[in-house]
Amino acid sequence: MVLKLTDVTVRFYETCVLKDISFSVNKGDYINIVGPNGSGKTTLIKVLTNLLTPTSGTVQFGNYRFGYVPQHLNKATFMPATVYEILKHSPQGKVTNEEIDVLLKQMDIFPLKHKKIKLLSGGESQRVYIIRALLSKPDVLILDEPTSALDYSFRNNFYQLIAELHRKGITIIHVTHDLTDGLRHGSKIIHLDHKILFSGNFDEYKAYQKKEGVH
Amino acid sequence: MLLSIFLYNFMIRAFLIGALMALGTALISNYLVSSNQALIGDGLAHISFTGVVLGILLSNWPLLIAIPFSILAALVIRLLMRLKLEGDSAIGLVATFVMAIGFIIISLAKGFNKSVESMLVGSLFSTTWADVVIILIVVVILIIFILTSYRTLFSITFDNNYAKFNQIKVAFYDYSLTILTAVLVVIGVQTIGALLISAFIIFPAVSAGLVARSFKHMIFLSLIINLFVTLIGIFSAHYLLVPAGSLIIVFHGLLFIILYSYKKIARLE
Repeated sequence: MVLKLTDVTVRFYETCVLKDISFSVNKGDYINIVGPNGSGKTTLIKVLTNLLTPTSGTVQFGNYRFGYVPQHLNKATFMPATVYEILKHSPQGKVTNEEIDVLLKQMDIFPLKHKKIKLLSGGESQRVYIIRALLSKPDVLILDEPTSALDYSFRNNFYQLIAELHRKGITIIHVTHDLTDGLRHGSKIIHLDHKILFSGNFDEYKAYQKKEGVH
Repeated sequence: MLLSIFLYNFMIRAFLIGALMALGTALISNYLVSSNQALIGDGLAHISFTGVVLGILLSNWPLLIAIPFSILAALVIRLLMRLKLEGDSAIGLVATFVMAIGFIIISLAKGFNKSVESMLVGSLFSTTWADVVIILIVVVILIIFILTSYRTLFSITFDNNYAKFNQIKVAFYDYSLTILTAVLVVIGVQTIGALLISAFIIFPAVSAGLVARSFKHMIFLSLIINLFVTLIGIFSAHYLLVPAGSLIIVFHGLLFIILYSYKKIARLE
């Protein structure tokens, strides 16, 4: 078991953002958690990344290394940090220049190594954050709305990249409001709107979408 | 002769304190400006003003009271920020509240023998060797802290949440940096002045950031800029008979305008 949520509820004052959320993630899963804006996805990500303790319910984490690719790229507006600095000084531990170079080449952004991150496009900086997560050699990758900064043509490349990481054995937890073909790569889809409305595979979700009129 | 000013002890102290303040504030400047917390320097300056007022009234050595007072206030600001009161609001609330108390104390205290103006604009030319030693100790501690925590401070400044996700004790580093800022600012209030010291924490990083190629480069440039501007400022102030702190900030402002214009023109080309 990679992680298990049991009856997780999160309240902010009177507002119940997440209600009785229960699901588990096993090694090798590729889970897509989808939901409209304001459905509690960001709060769920905070729970999954251990940045927020739920009001009630339990979250159990298995003994695995977790990597995290954030949604808001959190680029400090003024900080002139370069791609190399961000990767070299990432907080998960020391990394060698060789490790950084290999991943930069794999992701096809090696020439951007000494560029400032704030000068990169959405797609380029997204790859930097994926590399940052991969440098911790994660068993599990949590992706928070990773395609929100990408245009349609890049999204397909991105999903292929994540599928490739999944084939290499990394468990994927992908949170998104993008209901396009990207979901096809996953082994399980959870539809969230403050509570879990649906849980099943891609074909079942298509049928659910048709029945419930979800777009 | 131009260099004859170094025959005076007070001038040597002014240059030493100026150089040390320049190094210390430039180092802190990079982290506070990059994480959009530059106003904390301004808030701490307001608070330190009251700390120094209390120090003058209650002790022969004002820093003995002023430093712990400002550290305490800095911790309150950090606590309010962590309790999700918006950063700027927390700073504004505590700073203006505490400074107002300082002015009331001055008006009520009989025999307060220091002009408010000298506290607001500071006096680099009336310091003691004890002040030099204190600031030297603080700057050495700051340099050790930054050198030993460079990677962690970088990651917190760049992406606070990602640092937390990776089990970095963000609160410890936030509080440590704030305490060191508070101590530097207290000393700065006495030398540079309560109204001007915050500029020491904003200008170096902002000017350096305009032309820096990386964060490391920004730190290097900010140190050079702050040191250069401060020493030229003190030197000029002595001959122009104006407050050194004010002249340093004016030079900082002019340099910023030059660098900003250069950047705009370079981009146009």
